[in-house]
Amino acid sequence: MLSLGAIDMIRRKQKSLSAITQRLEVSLSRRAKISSSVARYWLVFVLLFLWAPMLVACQTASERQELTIAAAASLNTTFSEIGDAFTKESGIPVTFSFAATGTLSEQIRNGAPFDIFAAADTAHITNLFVEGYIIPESRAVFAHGLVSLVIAPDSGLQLKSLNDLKNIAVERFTIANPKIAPYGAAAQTIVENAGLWTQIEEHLVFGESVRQSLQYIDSGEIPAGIIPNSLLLDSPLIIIPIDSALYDPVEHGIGIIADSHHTAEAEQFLNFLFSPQGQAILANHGLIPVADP
Amino acid sequence: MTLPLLLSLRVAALSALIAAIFGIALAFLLANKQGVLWHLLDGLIHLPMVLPPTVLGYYLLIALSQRSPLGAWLSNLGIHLTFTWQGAVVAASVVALPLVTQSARAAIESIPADLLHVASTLGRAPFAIFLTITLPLAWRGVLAGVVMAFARALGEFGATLMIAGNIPGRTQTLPIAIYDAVQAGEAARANQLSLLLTGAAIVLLVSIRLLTNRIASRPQRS
Repeated sequence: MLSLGAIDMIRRKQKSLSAITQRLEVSLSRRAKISSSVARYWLVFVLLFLWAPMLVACQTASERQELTIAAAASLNTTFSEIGDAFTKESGIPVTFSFAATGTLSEQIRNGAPFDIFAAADTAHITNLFVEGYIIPESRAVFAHGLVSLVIAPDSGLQLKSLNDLKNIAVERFTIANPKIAPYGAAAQTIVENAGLWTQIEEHLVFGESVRQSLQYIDSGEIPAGIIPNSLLLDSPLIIIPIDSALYDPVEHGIGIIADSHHTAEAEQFLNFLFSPQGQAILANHGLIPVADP
Repeated sequence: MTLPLLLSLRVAALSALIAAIFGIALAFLLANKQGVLWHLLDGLIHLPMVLPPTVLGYYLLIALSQRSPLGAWLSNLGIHLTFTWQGAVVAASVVALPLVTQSARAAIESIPADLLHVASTLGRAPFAIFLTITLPLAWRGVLAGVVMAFARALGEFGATLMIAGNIPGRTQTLPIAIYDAVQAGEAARANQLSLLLTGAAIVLLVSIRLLTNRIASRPQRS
């Protein structure tokens, strides 16, 4: 591209220049021609690349038999497995959107096209039901969840229990944002009931959801935190149980969204969730099932 | 893995098209009009470059939610812009618009006024002058702006997450898929998607460089 500028400069001085310069110009303009055709092909290629996806037919989702499920971040691995098992049995594909319960709840109020909402509490389900976003008779509690104190192995923290935090200072400690994540609220209750709140408060880093808090610890950015057991299956982190006297287990509520176009499939999913197979998967992932499998 | 890429490309292509249509028109107006109101409009167009994506996403959510008059009206027409990929297009278009406007305006303003005056004295109507003289002379700047808008739309994250959410296969664009993979601790997927997006960005940036270099090195001939 520089050669184009060079040509212009040469052109301006052309009159006073000798035949040698003219020969140089010829060779330069040849190069310019080549690079300009390369540029042209490049642009054509890029334009095709940009518009190729427009040629792919846009499928309308609502006509097909499928489910879109909003699920609390703590259910990430659990529900992914339940979804696979359900699809295998029923042939209905399932798509999950994982985020903090409060985040998903607000999305549902704003018209998000979910068929089912699986929360990490019952309060959000009840509020949505009161506001008419959830089919009343579909509401249910499908599991209870516990949390653990989790420590990154390479952090060098020598904690044996939550109470050790009274003596050992942590630089940073992560829980999910209690305002939007029920497991974050449970973590806050635990820290308060253990009499550690004033000590830990200034070191707290809120995750946007429990998934993010776990990611902070997994990546070694934050040495410790409180994480739901359902995210700790096969985890390489150090896991320390928390005294159940410090908090109530988290109640996982579920409901079918009133605007859903797939209520029959949604009911089928709920039946699967409460079936021995579904409840067994919940138990495998560290949740406490409501029905005995 | 290809699903978020295809969705991202579709959203970015449509956003670039929308930003191009509005951006070129606005650039032409802003290059030719004077006055406080036009400065205000200029400022408004550039707001998305200054405002945090959360504020922009929040505004869009409030404006387009089914709880708002506009959202309810659109919903009655069967147009749903929250938590659909079309909503992602709206967010990306708004964010990409100033890039087209800025680049196109600079290109339009660099055209010698004499040319336009000559066309005018020869009896061409203003819109005909725009189509046959302004655009052909400014097309490189305009195209560079549109490609930049495409690139920006491809990388749009914050406002998109707020207005379109994170629904795989429906609103999960490439940046949101990366965010989701990181949050879920799926490092391999996050790496793959990030590399994919980086590759696409490099291709686009090289294109912009090619386009703008040609503008810089070849002055408009009169």
